[in-house]
Amino acid sequence: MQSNKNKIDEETLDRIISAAYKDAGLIERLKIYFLAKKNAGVKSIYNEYRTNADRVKKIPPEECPDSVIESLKIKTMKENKFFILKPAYVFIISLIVISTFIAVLLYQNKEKKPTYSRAEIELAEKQVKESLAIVNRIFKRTESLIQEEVLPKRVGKPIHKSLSIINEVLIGG
Amino acid sequence: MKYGKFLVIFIILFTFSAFAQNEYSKEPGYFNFGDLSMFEQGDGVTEVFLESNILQLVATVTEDEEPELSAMLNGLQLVKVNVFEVSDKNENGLRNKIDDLDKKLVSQKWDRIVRTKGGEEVVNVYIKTSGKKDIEGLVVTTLDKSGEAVFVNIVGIIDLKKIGKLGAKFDIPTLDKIDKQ
Amino acid sequence: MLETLGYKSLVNRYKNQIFSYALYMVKNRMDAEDVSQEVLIRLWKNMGKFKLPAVGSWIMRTTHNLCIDYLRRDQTMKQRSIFIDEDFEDRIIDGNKLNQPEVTTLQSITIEKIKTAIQKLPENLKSVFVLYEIEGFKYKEISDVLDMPLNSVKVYILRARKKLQEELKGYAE
Repeated sequence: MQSNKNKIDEETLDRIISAAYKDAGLIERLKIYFLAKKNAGVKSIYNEYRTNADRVKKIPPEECPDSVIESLKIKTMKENKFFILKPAYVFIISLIVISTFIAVLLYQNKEKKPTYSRAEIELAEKQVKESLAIVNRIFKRTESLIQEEVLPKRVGKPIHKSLSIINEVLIGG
Repeated sequence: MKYGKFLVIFIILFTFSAFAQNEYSKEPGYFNFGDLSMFEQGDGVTEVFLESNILQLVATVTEDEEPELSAMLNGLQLVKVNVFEVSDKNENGLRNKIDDLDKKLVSQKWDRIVRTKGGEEVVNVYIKTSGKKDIEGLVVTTLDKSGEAVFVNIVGIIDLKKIGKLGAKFDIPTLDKIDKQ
Repeated sequence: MLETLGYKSLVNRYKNQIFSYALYMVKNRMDAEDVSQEVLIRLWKNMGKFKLPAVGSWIMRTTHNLCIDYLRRDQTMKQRSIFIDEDFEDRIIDGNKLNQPEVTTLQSITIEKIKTAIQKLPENLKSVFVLYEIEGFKYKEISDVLDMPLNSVKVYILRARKKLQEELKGYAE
């Protein structure tokens, strides 16, 4: 291998190693492959590195012992059990709190009827009457508007008919 | 993470039911005039806003003395009146507002039964009818250049004849202005 | 609560990598467990202080630095290297007891030899090699972990492969 190495320069060796470890791109690997076909030295080196690369890839991962995690729990997560259960507990408690809050709101909303004083009721009565009076004035004004402004400009049954309908409907005859 | 999602959905659903809208706003006869506060000037502002709660109480109180009024009030959800004094400052704004409301009402399928326009006065009367041809809403918009602009919305089962009759009955000259609440 | 869940997730994800790297570096199971525990304790203390994408680099950097501290502190580490070889061999053979003994033994010896050979690599080459070949870190990540220029990482990996090849000369299949 030493003599082979001497024939193959360092740059080519690096390329062979990269190809063997599958670091190189496809084109580069193809180049090395064709080079290996032509050159026995390249082929030998490539195969050696390829073998070890495969061995390295097969190394099983080390697993962290449970004891590390257990002792970690003791040191930093004393309430670990509570933490594990916490999401569910938090959800349930939040649900209860929010349900209670909204139930109270709903109950208050439904039950809530404003209480009015006598003065307020009397004022409301006055306002209702005034509102109706306003509407009546508008209806009456409408009638007079049509009679005074529209009719003089237009003469005809349809207009007159409209007027009487308005008169009946709005004023009550 | 999934708990969080369930919580959020739960909160949204319950919040909607807890904070439901007022009843009258769901009525077909309800109409929102929008913001009219820009037309307020000085003391020349009148506002009446009576929801069904207070209307029921008035109906109860007036049952003996004013049975026709009481009967009418029992069927109402809302009486809303805004009156503004018309001046040079707000006249154009009020006219434009009335025009805008006209378009909006027509687009919302309100029947315009009276429309007068021109000169110094504007009067528009709209009604909303149900499938059974009961009137469920009344809107009135008026402007008198030398007087007032009025916006009225009455929501509920409306008998226009009765409104007219009662209005005439209550149109007592001494009751010129309603006390501002 | 979220922090705890995040921590647990990180522990589960990185514990094996931490332990594996520490084992190769300190060549001692007990010390590797201590290093792993210390890394995880530091991780807990620093939760929320780093951005998630950088956490892997932070963890391995901390592991590497702790390993170096252990190596410098305890001169007797070298004396335990033979003990480690036996340890590796025993574990691997025990683990494969249920499989075909002949094939298993051959495979076990090969893997054990590979690990021993990796352990014998110079510290600077070994760290890069283990991170790249065993732990699956990328060049850039290794550069971040070891605070080393990218080109140096590539050169060290190449050198480590060559060194390993020399060590494993006698074990070609």
